[in-house]
Amino acid sequence: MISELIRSRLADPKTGEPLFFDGEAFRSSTSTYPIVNSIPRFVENDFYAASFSFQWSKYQHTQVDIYRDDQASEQELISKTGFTREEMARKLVLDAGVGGGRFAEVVSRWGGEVVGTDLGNSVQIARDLLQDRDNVWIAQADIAAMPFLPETFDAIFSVGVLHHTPDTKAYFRKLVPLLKPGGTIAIWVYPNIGAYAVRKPWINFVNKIPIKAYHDWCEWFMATALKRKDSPLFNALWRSFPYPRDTNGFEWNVLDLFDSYSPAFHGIHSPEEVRRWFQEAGLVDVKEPSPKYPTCMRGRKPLR
Amino acid sequence: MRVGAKFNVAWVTVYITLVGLFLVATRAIPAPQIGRVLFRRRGYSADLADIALDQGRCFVAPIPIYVVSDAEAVSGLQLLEDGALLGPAGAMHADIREQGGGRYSHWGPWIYFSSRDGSDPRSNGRKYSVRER
Repeated sequence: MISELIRSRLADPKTGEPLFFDGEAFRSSTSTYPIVNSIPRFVENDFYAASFSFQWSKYQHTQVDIYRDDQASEQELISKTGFTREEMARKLVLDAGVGGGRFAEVVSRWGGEVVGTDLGNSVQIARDLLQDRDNVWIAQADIAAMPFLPETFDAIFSVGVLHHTPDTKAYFRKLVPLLKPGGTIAIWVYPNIGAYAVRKPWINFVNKIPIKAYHDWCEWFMATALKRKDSPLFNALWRSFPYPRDTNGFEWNVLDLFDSYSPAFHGIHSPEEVRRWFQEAGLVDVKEPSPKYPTCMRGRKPLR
Repeated sequence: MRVGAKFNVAWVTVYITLVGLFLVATRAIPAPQIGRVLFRRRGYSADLADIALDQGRCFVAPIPIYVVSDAEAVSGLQLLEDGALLGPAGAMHADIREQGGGRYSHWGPWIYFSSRDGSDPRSNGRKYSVRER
């Protein structure tokens, strides 16, 4: 059982001292971390992740392969991390920013022992999705102060998450010590080109709109835009206000549009910058898993 | 649609439109057609930077996404070598790589181009610039 394995690797996020479980909560000499709705909580609330808490409660199954009956999330995870079923099987893997659990679901299906954490209340969605799997452990925690001892995980991935933190590089650096020597870390962050760059100036205005009102607008806008795919006006609008135009379905498009403009933070980065973070962190074998996603990067922590 | 949702759509549309106009006016976001019409904006022009080798005689340099390229419509970008126009524009990338001769293509956020004499634009001492008609 992963829960027994991970309990021995838990540490107080504030002090780093080992945590013990007394049957009700995790405790250190100075702090207590409760279990609420079967989920250990290492933060008091979802802080800046409220938009994600909303979106994953609204779109619990939209991107989950086992509900979609396809491999969209599995393919995306492979493309963005280079991870494979063989590589992940029986490994202890951290999904930093688990969201609604779509990538954790894939790695768990591959036979990995998955720990999924998220700052947002979406951990409840991930837990509900994966509660029947005894190789998954979900907790609410902040990447800036993770509740794990150093060198706990064989592999760590964080896909589409770190750019939504206050400091992408600093939060990436927080993950590296959690990796075992010889372990692999893979991330994907927004690139500083194309639609991601055009969206950036919008963020501080759009994320002030109340979440529910903005979501109503996203539903209306996507329905309108999809009906007018060939309209010159909407093509011009797309250049200034990029919105999803792919074919994963209406719900996925609404979710993507909401996700694109509602977060509190929207970091954009060059491939060179991301590669430099890996090198500065002392990681080796640094490479881009896919030419399609140049700001995807993975690297290995050298053996001592 | 619920009444509440209709109200949300209406006011959010107004708000986002106003934000968009502000961002266009302050040049924070691109508006290739709208901005040029509304604000009598001049077309994009810049010296090429961050030039990298693509293949053969073809080199690439980044162009802001808001400059309309041949990938979306018809690019109005002109390429100049020390102030002299190069061309033809809209060349096939294979032809740029194999034949060079000043051929270029503005495709997505990149310009694929060659120098007139096939030399390396990163080291031949000439200045490469673009301007939008």
